[in-house]
Amino acid sequence: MTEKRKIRLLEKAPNKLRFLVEGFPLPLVNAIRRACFTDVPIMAIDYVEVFENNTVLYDEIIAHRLALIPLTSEEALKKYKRPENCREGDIGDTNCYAVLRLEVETGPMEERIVYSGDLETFDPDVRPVYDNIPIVVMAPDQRLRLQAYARLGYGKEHAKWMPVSVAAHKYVPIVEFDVNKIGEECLSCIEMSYPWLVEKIKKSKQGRIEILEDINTSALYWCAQRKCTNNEGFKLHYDDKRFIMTIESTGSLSPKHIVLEAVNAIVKKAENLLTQLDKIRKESGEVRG
Amino acid sequence: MIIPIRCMTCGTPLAQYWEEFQRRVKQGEDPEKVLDDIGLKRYCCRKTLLAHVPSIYEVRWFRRVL
Ligand SMILES: [Zn+2]
Repeated sequence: MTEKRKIRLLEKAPNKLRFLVEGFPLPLVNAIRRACFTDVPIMAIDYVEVFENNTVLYDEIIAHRLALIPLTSEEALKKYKRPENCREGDIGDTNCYAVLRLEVETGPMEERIVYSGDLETFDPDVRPVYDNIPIVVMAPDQRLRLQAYARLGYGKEHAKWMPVSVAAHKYVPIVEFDVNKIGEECLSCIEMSYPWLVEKIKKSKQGRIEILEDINTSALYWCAQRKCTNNEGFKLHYDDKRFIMTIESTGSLSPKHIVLEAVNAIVKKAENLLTQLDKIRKESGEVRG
Repeated sequence: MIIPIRCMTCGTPLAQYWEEFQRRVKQGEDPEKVLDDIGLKRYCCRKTLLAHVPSIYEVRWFRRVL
């Protein structure tokens, strides 16, 4: 590839990452995006033994709610076996499963809410990301005792193992304008949804703006298509060589870690493909020889 | 029934915001402002908190016999 490959950070928050990628083909960018969803393993509760439960929520509902609680997986990724190596593992295998326990009881006059923070964890590296997620609301004289087993898993198996809530890419929107040629109708249409853009346009009179902010440009596109067609003063187009990627984590892994893991997963798959091809070539070569 | 742990549309964990959201709205704040403060931008997540009815507070008395 002759184009220069570049990555520029646009926004970084604890659970969110936005960056600009340049010089990468669309299929590769999309593969990374999809690998973020399906091929990055994280911890989630997969097996629940309920000893006692007379709360209003059925065992299955509580198990389901427990499974959806994000668990910290940063260290677990190094410690625990990958899902493909745990297919045969039983729940006592400490290399596959992390154990969490929940024991709550209310007295005759007592009421309480059970939080994710009440989960007692045996491995301090695998604990709920948020401590204030309500699991169940208890009335007096109720009991809940259970033991839960968490393991690494892939998003393609169940959504509870998806490390991201958003992984998306889009083309970079580019606006070209000349304030003297813009029609009144066009400008007021844009001003309704993007007042800051109109301000910029009026200030710099003529030029080109790349919209790298985290905003939706569909209304702008609508204006450009319907209200700005009769003049040359305003144009919106998308640069299909550069992408803005957005990764939003559920909290179990940092967004950066997710992207790196996703890239690793793709590299592994590509290497696997090459070795398999090699094998086929060798085999067919032997037949011919 | 009880606040969903995640947004059923996009998968963002939401339940951790519920008590703050409920408290502030009960105190008379505008839900729109509270949601903005929490940082929920997508309307799938916003509607999940906004439209939730915590009926578990009424039904929790009907305990099951062990
Ligand atoms: Zn949502």
